[in-house]
Amino acid sequence: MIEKSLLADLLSVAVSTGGDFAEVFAEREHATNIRFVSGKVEAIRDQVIAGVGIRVFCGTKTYYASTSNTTKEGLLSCAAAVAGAVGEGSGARRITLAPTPVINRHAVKRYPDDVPTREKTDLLREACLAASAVDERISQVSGTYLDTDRAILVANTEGLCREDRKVRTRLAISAVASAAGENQSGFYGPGGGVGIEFFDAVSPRAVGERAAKQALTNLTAAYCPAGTMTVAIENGFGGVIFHEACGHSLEATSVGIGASQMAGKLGQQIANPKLTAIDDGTITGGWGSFNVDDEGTPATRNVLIENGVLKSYMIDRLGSRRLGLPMTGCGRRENYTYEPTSRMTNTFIANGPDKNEDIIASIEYGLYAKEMGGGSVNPLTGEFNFAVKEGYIVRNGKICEPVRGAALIGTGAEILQDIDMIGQNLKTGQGMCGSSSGSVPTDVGQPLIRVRKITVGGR
Amino acid sequence: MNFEQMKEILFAAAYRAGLTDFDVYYRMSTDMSADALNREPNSSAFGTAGGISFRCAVDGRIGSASTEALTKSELEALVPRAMANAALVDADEEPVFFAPTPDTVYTQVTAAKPAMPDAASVRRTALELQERIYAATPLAADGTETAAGACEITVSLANSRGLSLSHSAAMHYAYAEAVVNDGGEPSFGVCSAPSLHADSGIAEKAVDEALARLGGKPVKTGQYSAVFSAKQVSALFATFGGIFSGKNAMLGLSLLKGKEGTAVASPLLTVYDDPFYEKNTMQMPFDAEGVPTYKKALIENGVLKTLLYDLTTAQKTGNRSTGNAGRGSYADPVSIRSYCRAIKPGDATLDELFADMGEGLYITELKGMHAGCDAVTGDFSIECAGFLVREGKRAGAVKAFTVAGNFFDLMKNITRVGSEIESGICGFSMSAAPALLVRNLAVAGESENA
Repeated sequence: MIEKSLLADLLSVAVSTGGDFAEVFAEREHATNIRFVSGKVEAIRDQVIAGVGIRVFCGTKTYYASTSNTTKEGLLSCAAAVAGAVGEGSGARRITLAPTPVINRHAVKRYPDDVPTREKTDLLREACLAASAVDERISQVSGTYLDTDRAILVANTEGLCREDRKVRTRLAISAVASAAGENQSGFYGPGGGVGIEFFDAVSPRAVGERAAKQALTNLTAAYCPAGTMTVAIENGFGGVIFHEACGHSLEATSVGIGASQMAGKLGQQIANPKLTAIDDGTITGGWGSFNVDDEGTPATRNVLIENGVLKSYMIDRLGSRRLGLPMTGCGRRENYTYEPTSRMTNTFIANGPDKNEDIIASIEYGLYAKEMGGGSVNPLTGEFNFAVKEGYIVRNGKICEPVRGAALIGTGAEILQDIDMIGQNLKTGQGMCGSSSGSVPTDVGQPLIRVRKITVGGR
Repeated sequence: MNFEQMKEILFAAAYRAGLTDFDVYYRMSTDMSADALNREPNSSAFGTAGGISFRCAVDGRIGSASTEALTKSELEALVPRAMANAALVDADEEPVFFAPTPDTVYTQVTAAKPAMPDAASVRRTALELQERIYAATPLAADGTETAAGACEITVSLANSRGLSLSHSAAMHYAYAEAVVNDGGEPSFGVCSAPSLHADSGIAEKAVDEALARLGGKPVKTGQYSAVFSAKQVSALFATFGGIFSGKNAMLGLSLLKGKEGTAVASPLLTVYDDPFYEKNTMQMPFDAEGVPTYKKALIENGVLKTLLYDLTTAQKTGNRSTGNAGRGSYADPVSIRSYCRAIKPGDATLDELFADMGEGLYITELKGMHAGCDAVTGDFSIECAGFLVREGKRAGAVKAFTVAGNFFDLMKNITRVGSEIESGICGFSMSAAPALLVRNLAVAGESENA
């Protein structure tokens, strides 16, 4: 993307005014996004994203400049802008880059650009039409097919020079069911860090049908009652509970500045001993996987909590300086316009000791959250919330009628102790996570778990 | 390369390819920001980013392609990419590109365009906000973050029907997040303003909010009345903004479909869509299709006056474009956007709203709106924080409860509207709203027997 000699020059200019470290990040991404609604391919978004970000550190102070002007003059002026912000002077250093090959763990069989767009529109159409066909009460179906092919290059004044290429594919279907002037919605959006071979394993028809069935279930559901209850949360996207309740509070982004309830707790028992949680960016073909992160650090399998004891944070380059701890390969950004920060990759609660049937059987009265929606958290207080997309009342150990419109809220520190049963059907679900470095793909996951007591927002 | 040069390359390539109906949309933004943390400068950033999108009609279908790599060869490649995409789109209407006539008039923006500041002054603002927070309270703690910045956006649009428009707007902003800790649980307050003046009061407001929130207690589950703070009213209407889209209505994704001219809200509610809101420096005289923009009432005294339309949706539904075509980014297809959503003030000060309510909640924070709200159904269940109101007066802080309901019911259950308007930054636009008193909300918190 950028010639090696120019890379070295850019780094040299960037650190010439007192910085102690500089990094150049370049990317080129081709993203295709096809939207289907009302039985038609409505629009195709076909975008090339290309640009460069240059970052300088002075201790833990950072300076960042980015540009989509990738001509030699544009890049040199970007490097000069960031250097000018650091200070004055001309202590240009000679930078020698040592390009290192990156081991590719995520072999792609069918790159998006090698597949005709018509094949992609057909996959999307199949999923949407299958959703519409489920029931006549399905009043609207919209869907998105998405693929991205992203090449990055990272070079820094320590001599690091690495390139990576990451392909992702996703299909997301939303269905609306209507009756008596009311709408209810359903959603399913699986994806993977793979090429179009994703659909060898995932049937578009099944994706559409699952979204439609959820909308229909909600159409017949009464409002979820409000109050504090025992809740069983199913596997897959249910893992969003750990992501929101705890994951964000373990990112160096908040821990490193003392704005996390988890700061200073390494080695402490923070969760039920049954709970082990892992952030693993190395999973082959994972939605949140990569070979090297957006700072050039190789991905790792990072055990965050082991048998309830806090073992590690997620640490990017700046976080490593702040905390005095090694990087864990999680510096990520949406694109070159963002400075990277510590982010989750594929984050999940590992299988536990409890049988799934025992978990449901143990609940006298509570909620079974089969499908979760998104949520948010304030890492400072640990207060989190997230939405239940498909839920059922549990009565006398049995899953009963569906309920809709529920939200779960609590604080991370409490819920980690209150997750008191962990099942054995670990599965992940795909999401987009938003934070200060933009929106990045992350996997969440868990087996079926039981939360002893949590506030359920309903009415 | 400037826009005129890019336009020339694309127009030439389009005509060579035999195209007659097409447009070129270019957006470039320059940002400058600085933030400070725990009393120290923390980071400083500059960015120039943007791209160009080419859109064309082929056999009655629209295709588009975009790029940030602004070289001649990449620009020329957009034409065949867009044509190939057009062949795969299903269409049932003729594509529309806006053809200006001698009667087409664009309203002059009234806001002066703020100049891009120098980096040093932006850093100074961020740092001075820190100083102000730490000076305002001895309880200020780690995690206290302040930021300041400016951005400038240029949008240029040209099409094969003689349209050629360009507009540049800019905005200044400052942000303060005060964290306070009295030895119990930390709390925080957030305030922002479209200004680079550190003495605008945002640091002090953030501190006041953080201090007031200390020691927040749970709430008992039950039915409550609530006053939503002005800031949260803006947030609610932003989250449910999609219900006003004529396209969503056409697709059955908005329950306001077919309700024009009927009462959809309390007669106390009037909502405008205003591209020229006086305090907004990012005023927009034309939309993403080049249609002139104008101020309009969406809801007037509770009656739905109009939905929002772009050219295509207007054509399909037998309406006129309301100048609300938007593009999320230069690369996005045309969709429907709103400008500054401004709610007309009512007659009650905040204290009068509390007095009117008597017993209830004052909600000053709504969290996870993207997850807890569904604009298609109107349902919401949202984590909240705020204050109890007892005997018509603000009482202690409360938190960790949810408020659930349906937005369409909420608009009907407004029983009093505040007189004090608070305007806030909302993406690249602004919002303006008063506090609202709403009856009949379901609250989940501590169980009665807990």
